[in-house]
Amino acid sequence: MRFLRGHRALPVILLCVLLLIPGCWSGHELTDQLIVLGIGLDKVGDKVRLTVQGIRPEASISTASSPTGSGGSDQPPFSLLSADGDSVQEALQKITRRVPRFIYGGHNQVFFIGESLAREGIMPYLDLFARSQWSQESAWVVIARDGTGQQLLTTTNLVAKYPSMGLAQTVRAHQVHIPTLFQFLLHYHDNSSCQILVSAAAAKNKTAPSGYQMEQLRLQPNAIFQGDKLVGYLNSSDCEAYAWLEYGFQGTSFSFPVSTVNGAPALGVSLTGAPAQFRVFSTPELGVRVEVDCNFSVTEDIPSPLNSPAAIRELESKLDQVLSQRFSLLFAHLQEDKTDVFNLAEKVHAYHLALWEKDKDRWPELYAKLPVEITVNSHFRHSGVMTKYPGFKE
Amino acid sequence: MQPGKLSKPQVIGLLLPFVLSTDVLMIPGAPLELARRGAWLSSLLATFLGVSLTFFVVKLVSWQPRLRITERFRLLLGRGPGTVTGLVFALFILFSYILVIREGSELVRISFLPDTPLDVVTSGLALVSMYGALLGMEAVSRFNVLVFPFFLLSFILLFLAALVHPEWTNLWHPLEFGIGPVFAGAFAPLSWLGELVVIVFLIPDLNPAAQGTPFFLYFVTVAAGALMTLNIITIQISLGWGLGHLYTFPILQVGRSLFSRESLRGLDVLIMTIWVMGVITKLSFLLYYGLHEICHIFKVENMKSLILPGGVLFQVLSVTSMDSVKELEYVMRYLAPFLTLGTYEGIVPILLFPFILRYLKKRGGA
Repeated sequence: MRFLRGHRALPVILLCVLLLIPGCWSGHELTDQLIVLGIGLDKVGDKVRLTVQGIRPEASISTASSPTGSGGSDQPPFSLLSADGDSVQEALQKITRRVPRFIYGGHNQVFFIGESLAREGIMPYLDLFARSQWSQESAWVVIARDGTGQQLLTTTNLVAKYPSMGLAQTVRAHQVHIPTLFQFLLHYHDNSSCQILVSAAAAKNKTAPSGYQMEQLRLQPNAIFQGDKLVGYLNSSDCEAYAWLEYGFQGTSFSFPVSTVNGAPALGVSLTGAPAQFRVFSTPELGVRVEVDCNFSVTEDIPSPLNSPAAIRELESKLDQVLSQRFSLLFAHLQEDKTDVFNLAEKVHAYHLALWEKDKDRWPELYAKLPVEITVNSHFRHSGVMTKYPGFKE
Repeated sequence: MQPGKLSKPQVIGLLLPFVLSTDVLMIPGAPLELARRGAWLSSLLATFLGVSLTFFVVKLVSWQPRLRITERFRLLLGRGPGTVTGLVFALFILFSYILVIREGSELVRISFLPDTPLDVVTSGLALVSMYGALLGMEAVSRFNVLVFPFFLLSFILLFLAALVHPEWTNLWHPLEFGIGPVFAGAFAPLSWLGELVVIVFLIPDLNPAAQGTPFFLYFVTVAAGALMTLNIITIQISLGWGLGHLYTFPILQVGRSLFSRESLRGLDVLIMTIWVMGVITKLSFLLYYGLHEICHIFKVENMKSLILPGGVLFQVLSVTSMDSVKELEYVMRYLAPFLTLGTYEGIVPILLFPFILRYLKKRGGA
C-alpha cells in the first residue's frame, strides 16, 4: 500500500468510482419489461389513439407450429395495449399506468400510421419518438391504407407471427425499401418537402386453398406526402415505376408484350440496375433529364429465338420504349399533383442558383410544367442456362 | 524522456482531443444554424483565424519556456497586472472545466442514461477527472496515448460511413446568404479552437528539447481545424443543415442514423464512449492546471489538497449554474465564445504581443 501514502483522498475516490461502475441508474430487469415491437398511431375523433404491440415470450413458445400461428391457444403471440389521449405522451402515460411492466421501446421496428391521421399531418405525433433516446429513428414509418395502424398490428400468419418482425423478414428477403423515421425527417427538410412513404394493407391470399389463406401485409411505396401530410396514392403501375427510379432494379421481374397483336405472349425479363440519375438543365429552358441504365436477362422466352445481334438490339429497344412509357406516365401524374418526390428542387438549387432564387416561391407551379426527358438504356446480358426457348425445335 | 516531462507527441496527443472533444459535439450546431450551407466554410475560416491566433500564442510561449504562466506575465507586465492576468487565465480554464463537465454529462444523460440524475453523471466525470488531476499530467498523457488513435479513428469511421449515401449538394453555395453568416458561424468553432492557448500552462512541463520550438502548435491548430471541418462535412452530407441544426449533438445523430440497423447497431455507443474519454482527459487537464496556477499565485504548497474540494465545487457549479441543456447550448455556442475570445484566447495574447517584443528587445539589449 505504499502508493497510497500521501494520497489520502485516493481510497475515497476509488470507492466512489466503484459505486458507480456496476451499472446504470434505474435499471430494469428483462422480466420486468414489455418489449415493444410495433406502434400504431390513429386519429379517433379529436384524440390520438396509441397502440403498442409487445412481445409475449411465453405465447411465442406455445404457438410454435400452427398454420394460423395461434396453435392450440386462441391467444395471439403478442399483447396489444391501447389508449386515447390529447397527445401521444398522454396516451402512453395511460398505457404505462395500466401495465405492471416497464415499457421498453428500444427494439421498436415500425410505426403503423392510420390514414386519417396521416392526412392530418404526422409530424406532431412522431415528435415524441424523434426526440426519444431509444434510437427510434431507425423504425420504419408505414401508412395503413384505408385503415388504421391498430388493424395492421393484429396481422399475423404462419411465417411472421409479429407483423413488425414479418416486415423485417420481408425487407431482408426481398430488398424492399421502407423509409425510416430518420429518412422521413430528412426528406421533410428537403427543398421540395415531398416524399413517398410505404403503405400497407392487410390482405388474404385468396388463391391458396382454404385453411392456408394467410393474412399478410401488402406493402407498396405509394403514399404521397407533401410536408407531413398524406395527399394521395400512386397507382400500382406508377408505384412500381417510382421504386425502379428511386431504388434501382434489383433482380426485378418484369413482363411485357413484344408484339402489338392481341393475345401475343409476353416476354419475362429480370432487371438489374442502379437508381436513375436526374440531371437538371437550363438551356434553352429549365428541364430535367432522367437517365436509366439497366441490364436484363430473359427468364421466360417467346418462341422466337434471340439468335442475331439485330434481334437483341430490337428487343433492347422495345424494352427501352416500354420502360420509358412507364416513367413518362409516372412523371405526368406527379407533375399533375405538383409533388416533387425526387427532390428536383434541390438539383435546381444546387446547379442553377440564380434560377432557384428567382423562382423558388413558385416552384410547385414551375415543377408542374417542367419538361422531362427520359432516356432508358437497357442491355441484354443472358438468358439463363439455355440460349433458346426450351420448346424450340428446328 | 525525462520523468515528469511530456514529449512533443504526447502534448500533440493531449491537445487534439482537448480541442476536438468540445468542438465536435455541441458546437457544430452554431455554424449550421447561422451559416447554413456555409457551415463547413465557417469551420475552414475558423481554422484560418485559429492559425493567426496561434501565431500570438507561439510568440507568448517561445521565450523562457520554463516559466509558469503567472511568472511570465509578471515579467511582461509587472507584478500586479501580471498576477491578475495569470489569475484571469486560471479562472477561465476553470470556467471551461465547468462548461465541459456539464456538456459531457448532458451527452451521456440525453443519449444513453436518460433516467440517471444529472448529479450522478457529473459526479462520475468529476471524480475521474479529479483522479486524473491527482495523478498528474504525465499519467493522463500516458492514458491518452491509449485512447488517442481510436479518437482519431472515430472521425474517419463516421466520415466513411457517411459516404454510403452522401448528399454533396448540401455543401454547395456556402455563400448563398452572404459572407456575414459565414463569419458569424465561425465564431463558436474559433473560440473552442482558440483553447490551444492552454499551452501556456503546459509549456514548463514539456521536454526541454521541445520547449524552445513550439511550432508544432501550428500543426495542432491545422489538424484540429481539419478534423473539425471533416466533422461538419460529415454532418452536412448526412443530415443537411435543416435537420442537423435541430439536434443538440448533431454528430451523435449521424452516428445513430448510420449505425442503427443490423450488425452495426450500437456502434455509436462505442464512438461516444471514446469521446467521453477525450472529455475526461480534457477535464483532468483543466482541473490540474487551473488549480496548479491558483496555488502558485496564492502560494499554496500542497495543490493536491485542493483537488477534492475544488472538483466538488466545480461539479456543483456545473449543475447549478445552468438550468437546462438549452441554457448550456446558448452559453457554449454564443456566450462563451465572446467571453473567451474577448479575453484569454484572443485579445489578451494579441495585446501582450508588443510587451513581448519590448521584453525581448530589452533582454537583447542587456
